[in-house]
Amino acid sequence: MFDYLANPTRFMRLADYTVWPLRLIAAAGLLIGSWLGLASSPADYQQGDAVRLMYVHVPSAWLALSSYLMLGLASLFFIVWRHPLADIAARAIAPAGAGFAFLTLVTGALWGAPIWGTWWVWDGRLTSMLVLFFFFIGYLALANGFDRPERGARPAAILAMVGVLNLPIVKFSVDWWNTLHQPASILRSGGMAIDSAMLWPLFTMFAGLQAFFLLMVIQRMRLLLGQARLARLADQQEAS
Amino acid sequence: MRFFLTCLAADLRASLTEPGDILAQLGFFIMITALFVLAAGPESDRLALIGLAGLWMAALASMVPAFERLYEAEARSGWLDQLLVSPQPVWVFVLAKAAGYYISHAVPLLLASPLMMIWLTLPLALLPVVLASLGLGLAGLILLGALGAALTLGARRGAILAAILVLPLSVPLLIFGVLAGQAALSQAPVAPHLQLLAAAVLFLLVLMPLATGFALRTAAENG
Amino acid sequence: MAGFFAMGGYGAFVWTGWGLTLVFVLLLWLHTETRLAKLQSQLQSQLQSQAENGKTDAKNLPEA
Repeated sequence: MFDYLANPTRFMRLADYTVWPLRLIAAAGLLIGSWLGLASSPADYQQGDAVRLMYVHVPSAWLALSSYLMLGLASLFFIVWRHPLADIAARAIAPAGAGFAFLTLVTGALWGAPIWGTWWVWDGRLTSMLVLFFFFIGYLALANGFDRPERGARPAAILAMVGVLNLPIVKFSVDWWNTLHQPASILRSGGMAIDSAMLWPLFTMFAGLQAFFLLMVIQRMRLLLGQARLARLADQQEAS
Repeated sequence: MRFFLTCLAADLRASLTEPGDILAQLGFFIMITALFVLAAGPESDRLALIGLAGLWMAALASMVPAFERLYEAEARSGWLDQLLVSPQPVWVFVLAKAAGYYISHAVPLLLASPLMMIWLTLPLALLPVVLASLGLGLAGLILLGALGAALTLGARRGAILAAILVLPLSVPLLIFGVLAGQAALSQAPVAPHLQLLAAAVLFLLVLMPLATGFALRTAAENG
Repeated sequence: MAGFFAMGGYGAFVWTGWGLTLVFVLLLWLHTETRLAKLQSQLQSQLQSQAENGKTDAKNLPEA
């Protein structure tokens, strides 16, 4: 399958089919999810209306983490199998992933401040998310840090792979640090009992944001491929 | 092995005959520590508590900016290109560069640490733990820097870029290292932290030269 | 209606968080789609002009 998709023209043609479905799912998911999340669903027994931030925070966190893994995987494909589209995919993933990492941090802080009385806590998960954001920034800086754009592709790919390996170690080290420093034990991960009425807005926002993310990756890939094609055509024209 | 020693000798000869860089870095380390003390308030008890953090941050701040120039001499003279077409394994060269950098740049910092500890009002009884943890931590940092330098070879703003890449990766080293010192301060077991630190450095020792060799090859091919 | 914006006292937090998210989504979406549309029209006109030039070149060939 990957060899089949390696052909840029074939990929472009297949990608065309996915665009409208993704646009519809994203739009529907976001509109319905926003309505469910902000208006129609009930407030939480303990957290009140602040719980509504969960509907944007949790999907953002998932997208930040999964996009980072996708980045690592695409980089692996690029380095090991020299898959031509893998670098394009990685460059398409990074900006959106960084954005969602940032959103995760901000919405998490906004959620934590009223509920747990603190804007930030240096526990394993929050700190890893911060480091993940730094990794994304580093990746983008490296990939775009050379005068010739293609020159940055392989270093960035190497960095992405090393970063993916490093992230669990970072999380472990921070957890380790925290076992000795007794931080606020308030942030138990599965601690919230999620009412079934809350599952709907969560699920819908999840679907909408995930579709949006995939749409952005595909559109950005088409953008990058198209820019390359335009440049080649322009060169051809100059030469003739 | 011979190749390793040859590279190491060459690197040491180059850095030790022009000690300006080393002295500047040492000076930077000392200055940052002094400023840290001043910023924290030299008379306060607070300083003893955060002294370890200050020491580590000063070490990181003085080591990281110079990584960019790690391969400058070899790249400019074309020796690097010759190495890449030769049958010699590149990872050995990387390991030699890292070892050389450690000897010429990390050891001075370690030698200066007793004085820094006095300034930071850290009890000198901690010296063995500080030397062990900082010694290991700097080894890991240099290995990371070797990769960072290779990835940013030829990039615009290579120094700051290498720093941005290396610092997030060095978080575990920093955490384990500071914890070892803090454990010693509070009479808690130091061994677990040093073991984790050693494990991390070992992991880097195996992975970094290989990844760096690959990155150097990439850099030379695409120049 | 006031309750909707007050969000039980947490209005500032909830609306900032949701607002940033939705604004990010909207801006990224518009930005990417418009850039892509502009690029595609550029590609169209480029291909068009090259096709035309191709025709004129072909006409000139016998003279060259």
